[in-house]
Amino acid sequence: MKRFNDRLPGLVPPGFPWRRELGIFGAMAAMVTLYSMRFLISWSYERQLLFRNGELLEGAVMKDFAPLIHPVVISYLLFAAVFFAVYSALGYAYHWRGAKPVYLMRRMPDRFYWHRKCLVMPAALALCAIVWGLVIVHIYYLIYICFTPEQCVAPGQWAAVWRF
Amino acid sequence: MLELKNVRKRYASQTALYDVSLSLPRGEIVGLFGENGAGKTTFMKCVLGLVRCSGEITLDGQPICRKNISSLSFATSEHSFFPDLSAAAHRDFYREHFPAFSEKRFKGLMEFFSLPLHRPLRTFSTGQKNQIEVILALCQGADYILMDEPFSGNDLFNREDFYRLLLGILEPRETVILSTHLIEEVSGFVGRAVLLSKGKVVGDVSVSRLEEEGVSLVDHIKQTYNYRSDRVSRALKELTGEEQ
Repeated sequence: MKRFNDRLPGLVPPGFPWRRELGIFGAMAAMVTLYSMRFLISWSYERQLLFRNGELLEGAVMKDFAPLIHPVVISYLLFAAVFFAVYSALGYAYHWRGAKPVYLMRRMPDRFYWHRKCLVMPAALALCAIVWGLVIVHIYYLIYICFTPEQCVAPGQWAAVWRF
Repeated sequence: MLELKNVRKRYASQTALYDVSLSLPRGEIVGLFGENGAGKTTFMKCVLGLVRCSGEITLDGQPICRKNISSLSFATSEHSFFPDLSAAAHRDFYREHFPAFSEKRFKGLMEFFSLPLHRPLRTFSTGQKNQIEVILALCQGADYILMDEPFSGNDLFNREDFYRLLLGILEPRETVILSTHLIEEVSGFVGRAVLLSKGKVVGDVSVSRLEEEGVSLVDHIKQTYNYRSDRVSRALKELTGEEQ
């Protein structure tokens, strides 16, 4: 963990408040994860409709997984895209705040140094958001498959997740 | 040799530099003079590639690119350092990215100006910020050191001491291009004066030649810009109605 922490400042512009950036990312990720729990509410509501007085209704069909999970997938994709756009813009804007280190960065011998410093961390965190979103989608899929009566689930649920 | 051939820069409807051609050999201290808006800052930004311009700018016959950009350094009154970093952190940054960085010169200049090493630069006074800006430009290891109004906000003693020190520490390969309004102050230190007006070079003169002719640099500049010495007394007369 210490080595990880030592390397992080090297990914952002010199002096950039990366701890704050990580903190904001964590808070936003937690909010999106909280929002994703709407899946559980929708799923449990749809599941209840399969039963009457505790008995499974004959011929009852569970709502497909895809329409239940799509708002979650979209929220993570949006989070990743917005986070990347806003934080890379903040990274560039940092070079005009208080002084103009942009003059130094634009005359660095390494042409891509400045852009790397502004883009790598937001891109890595956006990727983390997408990976975390995928993990959440998998967990919800397992819940959907394992806790929904098998005879009520139509086949090909997973493949439909990626068709919008 | 830094050479500019027919360099032209336009901002929207205004031409900031108009076919500027100059040759700046190594080992000179060149004063770049001109009124506000004459094109001094634009000149420097064109040389550094910070703004796009037409014409040709070469360093030792090669166009300025990433391979030779570290031969140029820049000190600006806008400050090009990271305000949240300390002087020590800047030293480490320059050492990592500019192999010719002079640690010895950095240490000596920091001591000369009595600047704190470990405080963030945003906590420095304006004068101290100017000093660290100039120190970093001088220590980068560049052959051409461009300074744009580096001491606006510094007191007179500090400036004069610095110019004296500058003369002592510069190596023969190093050229300083100094843009300033403080002509009288630097007239004893610059070897050559380039005069800009409305984006054009209107004068390029060796200070030693002026001395031989018995003309001071200030008088030469006033003459070049058609400075009307009676304009103050005329204005006062018009404003007050009294003979001055």
